[in-house]
Amino acid sequence: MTFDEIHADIDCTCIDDECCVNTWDEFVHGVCGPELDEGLDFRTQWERNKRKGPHGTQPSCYDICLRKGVSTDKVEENLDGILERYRTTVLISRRLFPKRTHYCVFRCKSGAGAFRPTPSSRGPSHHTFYKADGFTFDKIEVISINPIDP
Amino acid sequence: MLPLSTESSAIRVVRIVENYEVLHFDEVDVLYTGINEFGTRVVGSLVEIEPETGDERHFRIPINAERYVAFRRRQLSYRDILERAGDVYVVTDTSKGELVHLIQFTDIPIEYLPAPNSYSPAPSLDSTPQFTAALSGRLANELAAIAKDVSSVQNLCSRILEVPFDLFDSFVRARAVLKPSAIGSFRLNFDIRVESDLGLFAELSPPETLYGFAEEFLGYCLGGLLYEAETFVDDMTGEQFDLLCTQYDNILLDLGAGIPDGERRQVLLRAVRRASAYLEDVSSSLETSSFDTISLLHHAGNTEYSMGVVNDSYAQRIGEVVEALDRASGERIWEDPEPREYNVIVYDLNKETRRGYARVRTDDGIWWKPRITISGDTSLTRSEFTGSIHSDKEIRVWATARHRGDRIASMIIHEALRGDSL
Repeated sequence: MTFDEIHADIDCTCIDDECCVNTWDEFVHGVCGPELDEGLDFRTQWERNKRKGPHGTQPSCYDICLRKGVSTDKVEENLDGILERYRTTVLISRRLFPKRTHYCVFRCKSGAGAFRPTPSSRGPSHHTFYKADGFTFDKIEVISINPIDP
Repeated sequence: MLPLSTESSAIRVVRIVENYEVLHFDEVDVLYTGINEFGTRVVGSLVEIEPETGDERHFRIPINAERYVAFRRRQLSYRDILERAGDVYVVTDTSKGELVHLIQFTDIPIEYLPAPNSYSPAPSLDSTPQFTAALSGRLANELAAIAKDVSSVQNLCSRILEVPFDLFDSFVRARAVLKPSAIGSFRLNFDIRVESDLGLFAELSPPETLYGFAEEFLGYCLGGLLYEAETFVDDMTGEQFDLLCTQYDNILLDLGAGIPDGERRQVLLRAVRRASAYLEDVSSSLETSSFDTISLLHHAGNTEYSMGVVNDSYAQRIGEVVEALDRASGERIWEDPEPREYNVIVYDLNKETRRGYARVRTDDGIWWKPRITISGDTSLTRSEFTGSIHSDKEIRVWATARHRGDRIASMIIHEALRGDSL
């Protein structure tokens, strides 16, 4: 498994000892509909052109590596809390993720990528998922996709 | 589209220059706060990101302390504070710089408005005073442990838990009290009892804020610190330390007790050092303990969050980290240039690894409790060392000690001086 694509246009090392392969835990990621869409889902902030640091500053490697990964949360630690976070975002800023309507619970297959735990008190189960080179949806096992607001 | 016609030159009013704190994170910083260059608090939100260019559009408003407290205490929603501000700054962050427009609240299209119930997310308000040290490995897996091992760890854990609260000792007194264990697990449960004579404290910064801060502080000592400690030696900076510093300062500001940046960092660093030294003691004791892993947990809402794990790999790193912190704060670290005589009472010893703990009396009569390693390969069974444990007997040894400041941190014992028990 290689991560050359992630590192192709940056001078930071995003994959290190803190990252690990996880093919057993369930993770959740907000998606744009009941079916996964290659053009919309599992996209990183970097792929969506969100590349700056806070307030237009030059991003640190920490910021860059956050943006180079897909934002996910480990399910076991509190699915209700994670969905509440999605809903809170809509209350504050409904145009930020206008297409995010569903959440996908998934598990990685071998070769999908690696996770870095990136928790904070606002998102204690947050993990940044680094897609390995050549990642496709075949590399994940979709367990369920449900509406965020049932 | 937002009707952006009135360009403003007032970027300095809404540019956050310090104390940046994220109030709601969801892939990106959605709702945040901080202080502008004039010392006024600013609250802002990321409204949208242009998919083509990556340009970001933010709402920002300066806000007075009273209104901010009402916002954080969820008495006012984010929409309320925008509405009461009347004029809202719209900052467009482009690749060429920031553009600022002023827009009246009433002119904001409804699809851009926060919802009426857009209250400040406050998981920290779900923070409870409950912390747990969950023991596992070895005997603890059979739901048992040697009493003295548990006693030692619970004393150290209570001290560790009190350290972050001591940072606010002008306002509160905090004590970690032991709670009954639950049947079916080996967990040491603690409650933090916070007392304050100041009504103002509860009004401006509820205890839940401190519990949340304690979680961040201890999580840092158990995690981020291990990766950043070296940078302290050079310039006392580190991304996660800076973040912790901001959180610390924000609570102080809410309490009206801001302190200069340099001093604040020193105070925080001293607290990190103190907690880390206790954690080092805990981790070292695991080698000879009836359990080998301690998970430190904080309870928030109905969930418990892991702040970190103390185990063998943590033990291997924290010693170096504490030394780096000591060096950063000017502590002298040195080793006896050659072996010398010490009086010790061994109180814990793993005869296999030949490592343990001893009380060591220095020439000026002070007792220290360093880690010890007994060199050589002769059996330690029925040796002077085990005799010292069983009889609580002081013995003379030939040893090389490692000192941190006035303390003896560790010691290699080369031999016991025969027939010289005291």
